[in-house]
Amino acid sequence: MRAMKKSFYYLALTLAFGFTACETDVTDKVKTDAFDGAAALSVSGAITDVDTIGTYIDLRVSSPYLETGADTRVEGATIRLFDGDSLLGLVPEVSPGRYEELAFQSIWNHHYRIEIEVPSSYQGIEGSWESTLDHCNPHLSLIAPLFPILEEDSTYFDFRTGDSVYYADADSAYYSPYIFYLDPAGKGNSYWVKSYATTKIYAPNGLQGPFQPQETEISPANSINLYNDEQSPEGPQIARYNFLGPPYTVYRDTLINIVFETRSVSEKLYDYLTIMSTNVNNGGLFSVPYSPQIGNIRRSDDTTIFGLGYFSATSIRFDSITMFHPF
Amino acid sequence: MKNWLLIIALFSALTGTAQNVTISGYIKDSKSGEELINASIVNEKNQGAVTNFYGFYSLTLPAGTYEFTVSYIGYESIKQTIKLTSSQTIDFELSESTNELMEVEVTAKKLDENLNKAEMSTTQLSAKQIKAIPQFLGEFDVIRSITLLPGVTTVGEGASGFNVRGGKTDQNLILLDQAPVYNSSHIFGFFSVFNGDAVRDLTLYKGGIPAPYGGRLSSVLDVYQKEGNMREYGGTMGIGLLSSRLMFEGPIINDKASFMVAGRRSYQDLLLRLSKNDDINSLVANFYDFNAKVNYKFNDKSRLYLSAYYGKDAFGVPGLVKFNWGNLGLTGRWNYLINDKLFLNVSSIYSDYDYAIGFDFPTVKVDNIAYINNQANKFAFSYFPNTKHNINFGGEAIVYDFEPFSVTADFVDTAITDVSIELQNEYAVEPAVYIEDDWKVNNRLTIRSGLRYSSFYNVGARDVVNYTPTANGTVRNDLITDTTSFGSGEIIKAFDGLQGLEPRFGLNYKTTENSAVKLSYNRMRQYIHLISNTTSSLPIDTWRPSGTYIDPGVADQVAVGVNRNFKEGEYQLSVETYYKSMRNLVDYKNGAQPTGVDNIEVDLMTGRGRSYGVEVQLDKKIGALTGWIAYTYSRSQLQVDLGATPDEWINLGQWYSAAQDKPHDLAIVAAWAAAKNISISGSFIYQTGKPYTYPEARSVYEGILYPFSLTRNNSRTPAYHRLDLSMDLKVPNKKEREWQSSWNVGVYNLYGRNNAFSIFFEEVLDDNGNATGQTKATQLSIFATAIPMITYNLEF
Repeated sequence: MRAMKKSFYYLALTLAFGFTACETDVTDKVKTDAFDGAAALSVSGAITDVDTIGTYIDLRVSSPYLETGADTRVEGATIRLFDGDSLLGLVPEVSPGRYEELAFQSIWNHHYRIEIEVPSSYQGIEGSWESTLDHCNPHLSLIAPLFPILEEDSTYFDFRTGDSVYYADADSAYYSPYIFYLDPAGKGNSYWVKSYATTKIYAPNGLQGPFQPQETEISPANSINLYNDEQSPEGPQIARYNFLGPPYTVYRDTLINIVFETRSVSEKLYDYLTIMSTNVNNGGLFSVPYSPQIGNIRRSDDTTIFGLGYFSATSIRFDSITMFHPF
Repeated sequence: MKNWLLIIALFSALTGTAQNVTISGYIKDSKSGEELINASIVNEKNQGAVTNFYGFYSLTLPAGTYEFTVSYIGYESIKQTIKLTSSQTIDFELSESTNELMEVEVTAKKLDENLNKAEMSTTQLSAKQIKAIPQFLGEFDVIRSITLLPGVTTVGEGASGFNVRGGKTDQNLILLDQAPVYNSSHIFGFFSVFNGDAVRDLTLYKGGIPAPYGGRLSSVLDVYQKEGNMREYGGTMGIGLLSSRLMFEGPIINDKASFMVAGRRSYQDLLLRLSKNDDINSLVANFYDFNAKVNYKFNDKSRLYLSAYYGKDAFGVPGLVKFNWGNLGLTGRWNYLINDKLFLNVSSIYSDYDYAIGFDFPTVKVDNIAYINNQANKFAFSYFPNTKHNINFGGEAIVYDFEPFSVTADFVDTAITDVSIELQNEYAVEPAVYIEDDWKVNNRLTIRSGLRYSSFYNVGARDVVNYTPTANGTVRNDLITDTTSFGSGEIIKAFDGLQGLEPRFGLNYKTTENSAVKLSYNRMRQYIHLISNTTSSLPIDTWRPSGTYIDPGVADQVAVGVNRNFKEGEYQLSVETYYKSMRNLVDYKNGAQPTGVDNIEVDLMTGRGRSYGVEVQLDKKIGALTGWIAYTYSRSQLQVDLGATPDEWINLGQWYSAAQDKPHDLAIVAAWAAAKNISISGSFIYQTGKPYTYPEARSVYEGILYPFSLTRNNSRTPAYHRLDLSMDLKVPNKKEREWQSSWNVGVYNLYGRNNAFSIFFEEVLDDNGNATGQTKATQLSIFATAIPMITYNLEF
């Protein structure tokens, strides 16, 4: 749908009236007129089921949007982690404003929350904050496809050499990778492809090697790729990952390797990230208007005073695929 | 039906008295024979009548001799002394004022209709008046014209529709020959679907909406097409920079049957073919529309009208995307004069709006369609029992069919199963009846009172999802429990009972010969909703009906006004203030993207709305220089506090500015007949900037630098203002030819104002596309420069 809207935008502006439309930088003008909210606590963190990641939390002080300075980190805070109402323990500060504990890991279908005590030296945000409970959704499981494919790294993506490969010429081919997976039972399952990296590998002998990695493109942080039950009804699914975009082109002497991290997210985090996605990619004539985005951080003694950010509970998968010329 | 008509006829005969006689007939344009709407006939005792939508009048008076004045704005009035000894039918014909410089002198009657009618918040514009307003790219634009009226604001360049008294664009009922128009624009809002050459006149009701109308909360724009010249062939054509148009009309049988056909086509794509760039010259980009109308008089009592509209927009990039959308409207109407006091109109209407979009990707072809169509049958009586009362009553039933989204993905690879996602159609029936009386209590006081009763039935076949009940009534996907299946025609949800009553009231009290005080109240209900959550409306926005989880919108509006005329009505001042309270308004959850969603309710929230304001308009009606100055101060606000916790509410449950909240709105419109063959017109518009959401702060989440705001629409774009000028130069017609040519030249946005369409915020990227941590605000403008225009027009 987003692609459709972008197409309309492109068509409307370039075909009909693009010669007069324009974009103007009005930062200074807007900055003069704008009112900025009071500084607030900003939280970015999660409890994961990966033993090398565990639980991590970054604490910051929010700043005016059009300000150019670096963010202020919140040091010396006390963070307590709860599984439901059970205290799991304190999350220690490992660097200024960064709190981590590898031992705290999420369990599917458990709910987690944190309580934060901000030192009195941070005027305006000092005192007690908390997150609301976030549910750790189970992750999808990959399934064997219903028709022959090449498998790579134990994941099931479609690199078939049959009619799913389109040849631009004798030396190149296009791939459109698909995933085959089983959506967990029940509604409300959502996923976030948090990041992916695409590496081109020079391989003059194809899969025989040697392999010489070339440049690696890492997905920009604001490329937020989400999907949920609405796109993926319950049960076995065949879907093409949105983030993979248009078909990849591979040449006889080049492989493409993609590594990506997928997180299960709760319904509330899905909504939060959806809004964030439209907000950070805002601005087109036909885009969704910029809208308020409230996470799950609030004052402990007044739940109508909100902080920024989100503390989530998640299950993480890392997968990779390699594409190569079939002949 | 026949027996019923007899009963009504008998009733109307019984209400007459022996000494009274009735004069009735039609008031027409002398050149074309077309009937004139809202023309007046008044005697020296100020007893009179106004023609209805079909040009019919009826006036019952004691027998005697009267001097009648028949008048219509823009036409030369006539006076005629008639001895009434028995009821008689008399048609009047008025001639269009030919010399606008002398119009003051040829208008024998005072222009004071505005002081005698109970209706308020209403504007009627003729085609002639619309054409006097500066054109945009050579087109006489109906929608652009009405945005120059007080209380009506433009959504913005490149946006469809208009806002009336703080209402959303889908709260306007737009009718073309009684057929609803669901998307009133071409090319994403740059042109309206109304061909100015095919339009006879229009009436815009912003408040005090008469009982025959219903189904939208904020306004009614009732546009009528020309009926076709009954006496001679003729037409108009125009050749512009981006589009051309042609209208042809004439008699089929003199004074018995006539026709009108009109068409337009834009040719951006033809111009693009001149490009040497293959990516550009192969593009498809055009719109076209077609209007047609025929009417046939069976006899003096019976007449049939058939009219049609068909319009399409097409865009496409060969091998990548093809996209088209458009409206179809078909109307059949039959007028029957039961007797000289009772007039019947029966209408059957079909209306459709659809879009189709297709993508040709290398691996898959995707086709998506959606539509709304309705079939409506109406009957409407106009009853003129005496000089004091004019009673309108009737009924209608509208049957809707909604296809909100249907997409098929046809994979080139035969091993992959093709995908077909078709959201369920929705069906609904909207019946309504009404009665309304215009009661002239005495020469000072006129009262219009009416009552409309509407209901709405959302019917199957359809599967409706059920949710786990929550205390606050919120619905979410994760609360879905099961579905309930409804059979074809089975009622899913009924909105009937006393809640369907819609009272209407208007009062006019003439305080002096030159001034009047007005008061009106109306309740409106709206059962269908346009689902869109984009900065500008898209052609793929779809209409959805009220149903299990979406209640009908309700609006109550009260307005008070003062009218005062100066210099025999040459100048007319109108001051109105209004307050409108609305409930069950549909708004969107933050960030909602509702297109293609079956259980649309999960993306919606409902809330309350209020709008209020003061409108001042000073008109100069006649003379070489005509026009108006209109100023409006208004506010439009919403409150949405449905949700389990305050963070689910919008703006924490506080009132906030609606997207159309623009407090100050000034419009100046002037048309000057500078010389016999030269007329110059101009318009200036100023509006407070529209609300947008300014991020109050920023921070970083998982490496994403993001804007943060708690409140929606907390800031405003810079003010919008624009000056348009145009000049019409008639080519001197020395040989008395039967055609008249003219050139229309002008400039849109004369001083090149860089008006903001929206302001958005983003992180600055470096040359390699990497994030820098810096943020900026960017203003998007559509027309950031002056746009010249030239059109060659021919009238024959």
